[in-house]
Amino acid sequence: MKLLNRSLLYLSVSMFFIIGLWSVVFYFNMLNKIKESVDEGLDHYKRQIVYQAQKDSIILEKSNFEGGFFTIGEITASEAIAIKDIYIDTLMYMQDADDEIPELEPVRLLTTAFENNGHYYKLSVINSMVEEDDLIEELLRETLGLYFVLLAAVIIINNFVLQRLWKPFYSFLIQLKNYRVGSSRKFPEVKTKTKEFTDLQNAVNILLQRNIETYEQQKQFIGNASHELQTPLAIATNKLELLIEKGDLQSRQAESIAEVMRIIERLVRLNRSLLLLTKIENKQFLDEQIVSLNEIVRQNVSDLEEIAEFKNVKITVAETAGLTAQMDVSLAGIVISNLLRNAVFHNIYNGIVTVEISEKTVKISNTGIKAPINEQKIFSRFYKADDNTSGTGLGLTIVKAICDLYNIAVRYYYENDLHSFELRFR
Amino acid sequence: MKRIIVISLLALISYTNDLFAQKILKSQVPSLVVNSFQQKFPKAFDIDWELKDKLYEVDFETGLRGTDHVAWFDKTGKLVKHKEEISKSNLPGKIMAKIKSEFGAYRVDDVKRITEDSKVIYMLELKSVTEEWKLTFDAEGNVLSKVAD
Repeated sequence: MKLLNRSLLYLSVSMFFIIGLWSVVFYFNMLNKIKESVDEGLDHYKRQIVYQAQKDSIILEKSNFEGGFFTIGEITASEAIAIKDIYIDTLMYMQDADDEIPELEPVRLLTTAFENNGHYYKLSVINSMVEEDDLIEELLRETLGLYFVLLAAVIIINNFVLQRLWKPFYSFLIQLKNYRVGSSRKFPEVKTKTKEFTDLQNAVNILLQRNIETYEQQKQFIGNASHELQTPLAIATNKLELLIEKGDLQSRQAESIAEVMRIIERLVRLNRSLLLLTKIENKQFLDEQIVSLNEIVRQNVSDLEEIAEFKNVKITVAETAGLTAQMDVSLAGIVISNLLRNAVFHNIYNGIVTVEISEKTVKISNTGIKAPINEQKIFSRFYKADDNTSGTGLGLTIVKAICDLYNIAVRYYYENDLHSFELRFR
Repeated sequence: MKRIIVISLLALISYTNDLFAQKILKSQVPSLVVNSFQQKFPKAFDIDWELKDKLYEVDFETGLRGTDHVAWFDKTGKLVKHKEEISKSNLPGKIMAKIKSEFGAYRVDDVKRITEDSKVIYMLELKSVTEEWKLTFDAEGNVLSKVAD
């Protein structure tokens, strides 16, 4: 959830409760005020009636509410003394403008007593009250209206303000996402004077600086180590060759020595691969030219024919278009050869390898173990899906490094029992 | 310390209230009294009710200048007594003449007219620099009482 929406969620929930509570308080205050003013009105009516009664005794005869809003009835003195002015809510049959037949309407009823010419009378005065359910309904509508208006205002303000506030952050984030240690020249920078963001930039840049240093050191170490290993490995091979050539060995000893030489051979290959990788990452290949991928594929397929025949693997090439790229020709060869070797070596007996070349892509698919390989790990150094130990574990890493160098998208997927690598050129 | 003073003050106030009078709300006053009062003094405001010796005493003001009144009603709403602040110029001529002749050197202050059972008496204060007297007159100008204040 985005920051923007999260703050909006909190605001709208808390606002809902605040407004809800407020409307309840408001409702009761309002009702009270209405009652107060209705009661005041009743008090005025009462005074008028008592005053009129002194001048015109005919109204003393009014004993029901027919066509009026009060009743008067004579009572005894002791009854009259006991009466105090009381206001109550009650219901009475009345006909409003919006009613077709008389129905129960809420009214406020004042009961009082007064004296007139030595006689005591009880007086009841009514006034129609606001219908509480109408009031609640209206208030609910208004409150909801207020809530949505406020919500809309908050959304607009939030969008405007927060988006402005967080703009530097998002642009920084995008820069950071695109940052690659070892290839990006410029550190991500935040274009603002907001302290938190500049602090973030400084922290991130310090982290990146350390990362770069470590990366460089590591690169240098691998480069140096593999370079330094070359000579001792060559000497070891030479000495072993000499030992065999002298010929006074027993066959079992000779076999052991041949075994050692094979291991050294593997070491040499491994070392060469590491050196190559270092060179690629240091961008020491700058001999860029237009190369035809079709040609390179054909070349590599014919190179691999013998091994494929030995493993009984059938290689087919389908070309739908000519594909060329601007890159170092030897690196292009390494990419294709590594992928093809990979396809042949990790194949099954009687398996197949298909190469499809289209306008923008090269796709190499092969049969193999019937399960997908972890696509996150497949390109990492020394990762081996099976325990076939003859590989260096660097082939695909080199492919990935070369593709990154030339901005070629390389993708692995497993589909229809086929392991596929797709190179997409730009 | 402060607390004790406040508490004792409050206690004192409530005690005196209990002793002399009891402030009551309008809703506790019988309807007969309220209606009688409202008919007799329709323009009253700042109304305070008290119950004193079975009589309902009502303090109120009338007019633009807030003339003070006190009225006493019995429980059937009959006006028993009415005390009203009046100005010096509203005193009956006979009383004025009496004051002029006998108390010429005094200043007249705090004039009240008290109506009780259709009998009217006037109460006023006479002040000089050194003396202060409380006097009551009947409508004919006779001095009913004279008390040093």
